Amino acid sequence: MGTPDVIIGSGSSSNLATRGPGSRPIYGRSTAVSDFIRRMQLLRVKRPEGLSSPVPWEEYSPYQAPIVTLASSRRASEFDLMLYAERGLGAVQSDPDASPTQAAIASARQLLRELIAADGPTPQVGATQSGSIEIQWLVAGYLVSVLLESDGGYNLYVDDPVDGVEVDVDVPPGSPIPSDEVARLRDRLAHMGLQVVQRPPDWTW
Amino acid sequence: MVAGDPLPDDDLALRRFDPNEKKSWSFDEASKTERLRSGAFRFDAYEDGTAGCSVYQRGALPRLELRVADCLEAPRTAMAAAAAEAIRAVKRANVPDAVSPFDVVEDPYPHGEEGVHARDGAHALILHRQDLPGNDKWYRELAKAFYRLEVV
Repeated sequence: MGTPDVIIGSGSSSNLATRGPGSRPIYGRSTAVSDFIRRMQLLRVKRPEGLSSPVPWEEYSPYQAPIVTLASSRRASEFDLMLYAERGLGAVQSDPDASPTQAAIASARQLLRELIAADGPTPQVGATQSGSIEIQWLVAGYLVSVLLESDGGYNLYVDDPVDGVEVDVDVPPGSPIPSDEVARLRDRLAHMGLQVVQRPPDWTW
Repeated sequence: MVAGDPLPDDDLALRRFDPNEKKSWSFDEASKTERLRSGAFRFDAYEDGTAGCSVYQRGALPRLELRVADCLEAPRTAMAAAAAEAIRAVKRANVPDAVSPFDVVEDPYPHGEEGVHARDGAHALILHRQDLPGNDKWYRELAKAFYRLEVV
């Protein structure tokens, strides 16, 4: 039994060190517990007027959502990572300076499905200077980046802090990730995941 | 100090960014530090065919009796820095013969107009020509030249 990796509480997001009855932290396994809670949060009801949300999981829910934080900030299920990436995609879509196309968004989702694996590094999604989408994984100076083009094509990029750029390849729209790159990227991301000591500061919801 | 003069190679370009804007930086999950990304830069097009991104010139601050902290907008912003030499050395691995498209030049403004912050006397610009194929890829490399500057 390793270090407990999830603390469950309730209240505001600033109250992350919530404790259960008897002031003992409530610990559990992140995969089962957090997935269950998020499924509860995904209960859809009619959204009250005046509330809007760019992403579906922020829809209004009658369930008073508990705050879940990964206490060790290292373990992460595939669901956690995909949800975090989707939050980033939602932020890009609501950014007035960004204008990602549907083709770019669809391509980003396809890539995320291909590359995200449990306990891997966190996919950090943001708008680019030109208004499109970039996904970055960054661990110990090692950078994996995907730049999406408006037509759904993309650039795959891997930068080693010691040896320099290992991969910098443009993939045309509609093309799968080159098969030799898929295996290499998955291996690289898995290795990076082993070095993760802390998830990004907004890794709670 | 004349607008358009290149910054000395050993001077620092300071780029202010908002830690609350995830497009501006990524979090290194091992070193627990922030690193700029392409979304941190905003290049505006100029009539002369160039595009420029605002920075401050570290070397101009003492003459203005300012510190790096005076270039922040409290309380939310943070600062990243890159040597002018590093900006001029930015390359892309798969276009190895290309000369770096970036330069960084002085651009003090608005030349003492009343009511304007004194730090604008240290304003500078990262420049490139407007026609820059694969610009986001170049900005990704440019971001790598910057490092987070702890400001006290």
